Amino acid sequence: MKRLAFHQIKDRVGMSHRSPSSPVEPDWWSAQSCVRLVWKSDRRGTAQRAVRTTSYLKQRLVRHLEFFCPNFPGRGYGPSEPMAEIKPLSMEQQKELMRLMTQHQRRLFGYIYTMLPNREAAEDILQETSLTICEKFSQFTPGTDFVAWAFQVAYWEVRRAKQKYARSRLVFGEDALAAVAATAAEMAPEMDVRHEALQHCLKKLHPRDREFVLLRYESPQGVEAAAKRVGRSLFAAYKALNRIRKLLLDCVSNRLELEANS
Amino acid sequence: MNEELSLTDAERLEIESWCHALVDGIISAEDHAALEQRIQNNAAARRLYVRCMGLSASLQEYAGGSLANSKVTPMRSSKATWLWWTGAAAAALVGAWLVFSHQPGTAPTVALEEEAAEGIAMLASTENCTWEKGSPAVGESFSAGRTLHLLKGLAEVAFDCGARVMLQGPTTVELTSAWAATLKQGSLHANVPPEAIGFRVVNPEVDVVDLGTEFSVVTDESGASEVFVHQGAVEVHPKGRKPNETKARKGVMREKESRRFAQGATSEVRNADQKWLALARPASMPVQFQPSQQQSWDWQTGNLTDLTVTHPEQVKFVSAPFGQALKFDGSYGAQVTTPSITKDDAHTIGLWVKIAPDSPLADAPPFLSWRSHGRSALIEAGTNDDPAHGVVGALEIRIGNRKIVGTKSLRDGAWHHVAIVLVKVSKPQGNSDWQVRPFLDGRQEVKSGKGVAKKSKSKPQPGFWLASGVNDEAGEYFSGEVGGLVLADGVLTQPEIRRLMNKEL
Repeated sequence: MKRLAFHQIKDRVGMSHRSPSSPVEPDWWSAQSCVRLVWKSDRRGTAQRAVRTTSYLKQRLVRHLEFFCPNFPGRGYGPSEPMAEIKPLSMEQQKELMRLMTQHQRRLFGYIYTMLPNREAAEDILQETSLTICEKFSQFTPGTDFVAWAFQVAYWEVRRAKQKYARSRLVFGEDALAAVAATAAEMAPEMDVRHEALQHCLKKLHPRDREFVLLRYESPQGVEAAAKRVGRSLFAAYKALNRIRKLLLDCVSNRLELEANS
Repeated sequence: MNEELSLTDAERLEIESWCHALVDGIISAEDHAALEQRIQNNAAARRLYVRCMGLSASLQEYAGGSLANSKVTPMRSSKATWLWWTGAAAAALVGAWLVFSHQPGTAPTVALEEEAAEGIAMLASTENCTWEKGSPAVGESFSAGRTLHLLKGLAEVAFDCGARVMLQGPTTVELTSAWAATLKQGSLHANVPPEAIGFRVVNPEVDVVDLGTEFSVVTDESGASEVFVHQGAVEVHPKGRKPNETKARKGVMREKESRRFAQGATSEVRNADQKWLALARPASMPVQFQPSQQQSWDWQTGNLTDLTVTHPEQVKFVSAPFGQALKFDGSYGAQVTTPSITKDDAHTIGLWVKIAPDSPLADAPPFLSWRSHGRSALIEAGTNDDPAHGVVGALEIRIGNRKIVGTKSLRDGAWHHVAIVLVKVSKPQGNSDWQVRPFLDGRQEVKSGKGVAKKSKSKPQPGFWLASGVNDEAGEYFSGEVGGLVLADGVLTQPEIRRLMNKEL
């Protein structure tokens, strides 16, 4: 099966068109915009992760261009997965989807991270989950629990990616993963409250500790980079981090307790 | 009952350390297998695991920007990244029109809620002070964001972190947090003990970060600032005219050095000798604030002044570094009768306590309790027995139905000094609130929360109780040793509490 290179896609959908010239099918305009978006992100993305995500988006895009645009020149070159379940969304559905995704994406990330505790891996899964949710959103029944539905999608995405991370000791076996997934879903409301409480607890940390712990989580290189930045040995950095995280865990629990009793 | 109680303290610590190692990517195969086995078979362990992972997931998000200030405006936060990518992914499917509302660089700000009601500093002493607005009383506690306009005279502010700052009028300073002050104009002299290293004085021209020292900052109307280091060293971060300039130009100033920071440039201080002379005053004024009333009890064998014991035949005394202490063995408690505890004023209680590592832990009665007049709130000091709430055995103070848990276990068989301060906190709106501030071994116990004593209509009880709840309600008594009890009307500062503690030794 031949896969199109990005520049080929770009050529075929006519990136030179800045705006839809009539008569142009709305789907065709969407497709052009999609490609332009990916192209822009490709230009912008210097970080490896961005490039990787973008290239993934590109692959997925071919499928969706084919679907949205019956005349897409790349038709027939895409992956062989069946596309029958994908239905175009109405404008109302699009708006609702964006609203729900924006509202719950942090919760979704937290859920994925609990099963796959690595920022890059969790963000990759989040991407895949987002795309799958978009694809299958027409199957979602409005008024039902979107978060539970999205968690299900995320859980299956993690299971699908398990093989990839099997050697990195990031993912547990199936039974443990299922148990963690169920507990994380059940505790999602609590985790929202804990997330808010953490803001206050971070403020209560000593500025040096706060700066250090945020530095560690900001950097993709993690502890090593943070230790280097503040001039600590790796051993001292791990020790300090564990102490700070312990303080934060306790502080958040205490705060929740206080709020519950007030 | 919290589910995590089914985990022992050691188990809890072990699971937490495995979780942290997993997040940091350094977990060993054995530990990974042990963690997997534990979370698969134990619901409490699994819940703890989810909380640990949730903490790291949240930290990923908060790490996008600096929380040093009250508002975070990350340029490329993780949150922004997620918004961007999720937005991009979704929009790639549902249409491009929504995408551009999620451009990177226009990430939403994460506003941090101000905890205005919490006291972060207090007025320690004054000398011939005139204030622009109102007249804060010595002992008054200030919340974050409070601005002081001192027209003339000298005023000393004690920050909760331990730093003491003397203001010389005319000076305008904003008390930013327990660790920072913003000098808008005037003269400020900071005396920073080792435990408060990192205390920061900020102004439009330079940020001065203490490295364990004594220094002065003088800022004029234009914002130009002069920094004088009397002892030790400070780190200075001059604020350049370009956004990234600060980091590049930061430096360290050492003892007897002075620099001027104005309009983005650094220069020598003019007439430095004269200014050094003018600044040569005591680093801090002598402790001026004396509690209007202070009572102490040093019970000797056979002398039980003001003390009513539930079972007198059980009373035992032991020698302690500060004199003699009462040894409670769980069979009796005592009530200390004193009229001053019933006053509706701020007060401080200090005492020494020693708890054996193997003393009863679960539902252990408090070693001290009292009702505060006016609010009539029940206040109890004991040890935490719930790992879900913090370190087991750490100082736990209950105020009404709230509680504060400290960070260090008292159950180590050593003497610890506990001081509890009932503080009046001014709110920016003009009204005030009451809070309890605990100190352990002369340092303010962090930071796990502060309680607010609620008003109650019930009749206040005079005095306070040792080794039991108020009025011996439960009929259960604390096991451990207690002594060196001091009750002071008013709010004692950290140095005063230390002095009190050291005086007794």
